[in-house]
Amino acid sequence: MTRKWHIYLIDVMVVAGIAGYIGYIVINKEPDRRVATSDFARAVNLEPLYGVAVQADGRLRSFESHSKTYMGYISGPRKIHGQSNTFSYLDVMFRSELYEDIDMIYVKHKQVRDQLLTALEGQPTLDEERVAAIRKSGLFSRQLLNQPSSRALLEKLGLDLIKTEKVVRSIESALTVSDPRFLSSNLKLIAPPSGLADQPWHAVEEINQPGGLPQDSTHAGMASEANIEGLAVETQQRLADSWSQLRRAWRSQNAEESSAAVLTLAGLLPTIAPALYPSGERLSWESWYFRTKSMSWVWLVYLLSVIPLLMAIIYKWQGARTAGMILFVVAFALQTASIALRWYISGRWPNANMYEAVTTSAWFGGVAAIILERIARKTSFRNIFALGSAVISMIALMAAYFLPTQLDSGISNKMAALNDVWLYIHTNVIIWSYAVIGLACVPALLFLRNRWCLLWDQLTIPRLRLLLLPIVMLVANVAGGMLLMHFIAKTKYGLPMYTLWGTAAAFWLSSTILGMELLSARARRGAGIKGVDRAASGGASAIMAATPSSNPFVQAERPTSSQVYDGATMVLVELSFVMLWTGVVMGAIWADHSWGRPWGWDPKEVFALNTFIIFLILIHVRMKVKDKGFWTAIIALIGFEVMMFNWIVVNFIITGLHSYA
Amino acid sequence: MESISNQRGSLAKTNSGGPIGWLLGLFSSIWLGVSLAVILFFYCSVGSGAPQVRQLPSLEMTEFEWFHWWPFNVLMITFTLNMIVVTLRRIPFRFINAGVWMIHCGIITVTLGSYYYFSTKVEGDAPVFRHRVRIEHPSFAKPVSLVVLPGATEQVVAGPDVWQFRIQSTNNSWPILSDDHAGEKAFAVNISVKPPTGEPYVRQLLDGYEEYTEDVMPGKGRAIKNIGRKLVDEKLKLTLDHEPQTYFHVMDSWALFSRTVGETEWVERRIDNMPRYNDRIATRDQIFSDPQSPVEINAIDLPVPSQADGDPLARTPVHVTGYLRYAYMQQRWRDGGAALNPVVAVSVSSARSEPHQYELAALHPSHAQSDDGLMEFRWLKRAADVARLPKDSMPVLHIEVPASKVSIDVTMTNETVAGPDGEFTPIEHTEFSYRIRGGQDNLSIPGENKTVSIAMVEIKTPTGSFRRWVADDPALTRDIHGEGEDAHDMDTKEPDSRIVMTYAAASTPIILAGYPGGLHLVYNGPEGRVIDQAVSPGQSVELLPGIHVGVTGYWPHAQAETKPYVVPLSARQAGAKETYSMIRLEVGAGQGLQSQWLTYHPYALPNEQYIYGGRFRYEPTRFRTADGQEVEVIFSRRREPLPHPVILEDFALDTHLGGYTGASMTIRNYVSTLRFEDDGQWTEPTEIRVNEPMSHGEYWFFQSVWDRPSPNNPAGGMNYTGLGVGNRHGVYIQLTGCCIAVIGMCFAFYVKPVLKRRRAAQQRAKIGRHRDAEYDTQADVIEEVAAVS
Repeated sequence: MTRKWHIYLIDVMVVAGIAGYIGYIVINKEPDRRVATSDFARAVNLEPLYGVAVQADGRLRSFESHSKTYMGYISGPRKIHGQSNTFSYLDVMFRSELYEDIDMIYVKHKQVRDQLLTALEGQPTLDEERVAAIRKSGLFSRQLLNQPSSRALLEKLGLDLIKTEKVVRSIESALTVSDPRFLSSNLKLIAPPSGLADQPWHAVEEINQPGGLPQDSTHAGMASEANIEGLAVETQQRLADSWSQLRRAWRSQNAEESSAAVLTLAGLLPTIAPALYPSGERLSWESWYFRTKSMSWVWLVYLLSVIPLLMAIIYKWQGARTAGMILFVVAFALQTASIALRWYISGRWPNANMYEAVTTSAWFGGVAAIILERIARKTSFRNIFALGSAVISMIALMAAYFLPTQLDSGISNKMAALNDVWLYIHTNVIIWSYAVIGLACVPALLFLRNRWCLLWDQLTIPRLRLLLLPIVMLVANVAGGMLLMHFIAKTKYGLPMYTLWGTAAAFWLSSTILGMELLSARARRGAGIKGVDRAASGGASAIMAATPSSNPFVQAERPTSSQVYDGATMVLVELSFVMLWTGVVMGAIWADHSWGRPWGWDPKEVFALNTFIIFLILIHVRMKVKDKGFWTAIIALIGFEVMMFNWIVVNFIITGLHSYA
Repeated sequence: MESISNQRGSLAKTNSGGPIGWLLGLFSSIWLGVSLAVILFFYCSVGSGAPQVRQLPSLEMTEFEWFHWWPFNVLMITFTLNMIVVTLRRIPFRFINAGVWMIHCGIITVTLGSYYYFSTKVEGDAPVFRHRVRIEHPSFAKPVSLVVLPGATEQVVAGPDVWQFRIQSTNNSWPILSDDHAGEKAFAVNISVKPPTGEPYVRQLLDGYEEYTEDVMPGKGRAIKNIGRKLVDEKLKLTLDHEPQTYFHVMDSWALFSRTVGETEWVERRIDNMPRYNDRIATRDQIFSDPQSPVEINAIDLPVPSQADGDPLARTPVHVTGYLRYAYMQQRWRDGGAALNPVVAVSVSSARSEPHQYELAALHPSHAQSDDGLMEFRWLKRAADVARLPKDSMPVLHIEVPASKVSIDVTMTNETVAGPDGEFTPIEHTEFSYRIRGGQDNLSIPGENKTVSIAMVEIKTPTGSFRRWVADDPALTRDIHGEGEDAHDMDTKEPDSRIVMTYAAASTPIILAGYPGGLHLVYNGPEGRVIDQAVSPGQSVELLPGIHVGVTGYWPHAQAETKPYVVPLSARQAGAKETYSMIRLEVGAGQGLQSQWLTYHPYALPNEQYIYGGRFRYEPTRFRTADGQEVEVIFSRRREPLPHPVILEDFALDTHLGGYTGASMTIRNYVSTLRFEDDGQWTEPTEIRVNEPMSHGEYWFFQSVWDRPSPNNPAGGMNYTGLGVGNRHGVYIQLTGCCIAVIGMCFAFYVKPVLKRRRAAQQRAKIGRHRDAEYDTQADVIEEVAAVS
């Protein structure tokens, strides 16, 4: 009882800490979400636009998708006044003068934010409250960014190609995109009347009535010299009139008239080249998909499944087992729907950019979990794979939900180099293996928790030391990561001298402690559990051994939790070992086709090989060491870290040929 | 797999002792394999994740070199040996172990295949240009060739006659409107022809449609409509030929190409052991650098021996004595010249921005004014001329009426510029009045490399009125009589001497005026124009609160100095690789020693026709040998001959919906149609695309780079394709090894457990039949089953 009380308390504290952190992120995510929208914004009906297509970058998007992309260039993950993207797009385009001094341009880099605010000190419109708001949201107004002091600073920062040039470029892009002329000229709503797919689409501003549009206030800003060849005069006239009506009504904040103009336009546009126009159903689904944040909110359902699944596995609560599996299946079904919808919208399997790679990888993890759960449904392994998948999918979807700038959910065409069947197979197999590596982490962590609990019980290591161990592990990882980043990309992520020494000292101390603990006999032998605290035979053998035999005479003893965790880890490690190797080989076949060489020592290739080497080490170390379960768990976690390094650091920091995934 | 760890293989032998036995024992160790794998992991991590290490001055390795360095080779050989010995000695050669055997054999095969692959690997790239124009005329000694790249020019001297040809433009989808071919599209080339006599004209050639060749006369239209025939000069024959590519340049290599001036063929000599990532200089005088990023002195001296016949520098020592990773040639001024050449160095700083540095040369029009138009440097003959500098930065019209001795200055502002409908302003005490219509500064004079600034004024006299264009150069001032605005209707005359006007164009806000013995600063201060501020080097003046101008140097007799400027790390483009590299080449010895910096050329192109708006580089450097021969040299990459020359038949884009807009995402694929020369014949056209390479002869050709059309001119570009070229010996050995390993993994992880379980079940069944006789408890059974497993 004493043991349970302690362990439960610590478990509750850890879970509460994680939950608190998630809550903190959720609360602080959108500082502007509580801002009330205007009466006009609430009254105007933009729903007909959900069925309108815009041509951009070689594909047809829904209006919502287009405005999300463009407003993303301007405001990043923020929303102007909490307005919808479509509303903001039209409002910035039609009433640009109002947006000159509204903070809407997102500056992601916090140091650049601070530098800009310092340069803008003394601006009459910049009071303390606004400075605080800008510091928090990262949103500046066009007027502030166009101040001479801002321009001078941006010019200087733009010269630093390593640290700040990219940030300056994104600010300049935002300034360009937020120009109403840019927004209107890139709103290509009119299909080529010829009906030919390779012909450009047209913006409404290109419309010209025969003899020239009347240059009154309603037609102001429209080019009078352009014309759309092949478009019936009457249609041009109707389009021009409804666009003018929309502009006029919008500027006078007349919701009824604006809604009517939107309705007319939405009815007219699909009739110009019906064969080219995508179905209204597809466009509506696309709009819905983006309005629901690409369904990345499914992470919440996964979170709900993780809690009962954990209780089911650790505390063996039968009720939690059923509830957890039901929630997991629901979450997986929703994620499957999201993947299927994205596939339907984009017309291709979603695996062509970082967002798709992360979310599809998580889905593959779910597929693997469902299959393995089916195989192991009557064994002690049940629920572990589902838990692993739920955790991985939850993290992946949280990343998509909370980091929309880094993981842009926008749909784009594939780069030419990605149009290859071998590449398709290669990338899918690789990301599947990554997901399985992630899944393996969960039972490995559970194994280590079990070992920790055993040590806690047996008092072979002082409890204070045990309590400090996870903290030391965390410090070693964080400090190691910071040092790694310092040495890999010193010019961009370099630590100041004192921080560097402090981090180095923390890393040295924590890794020494950790090393000593790992090497100490007590830790290695698992407090006298020599040779038993692991699956008797790893991987598929373990799962088979745990499967009920038709011969009741040879039923094995019920395995311990540690044996189950170790066996599950091995099942997943072996699976990832085969998939990773196969994926790398398929990548080599594709690279041979695309780049003329199967292997080019590109960083991505090398770290994929490195991940494989880690698992190769795991399999052979397992043969030789006595405390097989413990070392399997430790090396599986190292393998996961190397895989994550490959996916995040190599992709974002170390440039290579695999920039898209 | 676990079951093998403590067993001896069927081929296992007992260690016989001695060094061989010890070695066998060592290489039979799984721990050795694990240790090697750990070392391999760290070696790979450092080579790929921390490139700074392999880029250290003492290593200077590319990724390819790092992974072919002897420590890596030793590591791989040891690892392979370990795997072989372990497999033979520790894994029983039985069906149940087929998986492990296959994994090990597969990986060993991959390793051997990779060794073969990488040791024979040759990889590079080659631009293949679409066409060249063959130019023939009876007066030419031989046909002339001009590559089809916009901007390419060729001058032909035929006796006393000089012809000039220039590729004006190309169009990759020219619509044909005539005859049966209407609706088809062709690759069009417009060549500007400047004959020795007569008007220049443009000849248009359509690839594959010779019958549509015709001339266009600028300003007049098609020749057929003007002179009744399609060609202005029917003796001039221009035809489109293919431009065969006969070489490719090897990736990550260095070479020097030389030839005697006037020759067409380059002679190559490879440069070995060249640094790649770290600057090497002998003294800091050799370069300019940012004071905050000083370049360390670390000299090199690499001899570059001659390796081929026909090398014009064969008997001259050639050494590389310097290397810069990222630099460009920059001209700066310093004191010590013989002739008058005033130069001033100025720093402008404000409280909120970094100081801006300027170097202005008064006698060089292109360097006399700062790029931002903030300041200019003028040279005056004497100090007193400072008083004649513009007293306002606005343009000023000076009016004099000599008869009345009236002289006024009119600053041209919104108030004084009346426009065409404004009131005339009378000039007091005279009979004249004027109306300023406007002004235009810095207008280019056609055909001359100078500009003129003009004020347009209407002058009313007692007898009438006329217009005057008052130029800042009085020699260009003209009076215009007549009503029309058209140039043909104008009657221009020398200016009426009764009223004299001069025009001073708008001046920069800050003027630095140098004169013998001093320097003045003229600027707009808070209380108006300041013209009496003398300055000297080291002095700083506050123009407006917080804005300072400091003179950091002033050299009346400056001389230009051109050296490479080493770009600081923070200002270098990521991925530029060796594009901005330079070497310092020393040619000759003793008294005849010459030393110059050479810029890097991605390709050793034959002449300047290939520059293509700066996309390719062609900047040969000239040296003079001891025997007086002039030799030109370029620094580039090694090149290899293509056994089968290749031509580009066609190059097209496959686009997504809406066509190509300039964005990469609108491109579905790039399609190069190639033909190869086989036994003097061109093969049938073959298309290659991204992911669809082709092999011909011993090389593999794949789509690499392309000539991107400008988003504003989607019909332009596509004049060349960039092919990747490489061999791939051993790929199938690698692939076989990989497949064997995959099969082995599946067997070991998923078949072997089934087999073992089946055997265990059989064993259990057997045990079950005899359990009463042989076993007492179920625990014994479990123990037995475990032993089998």
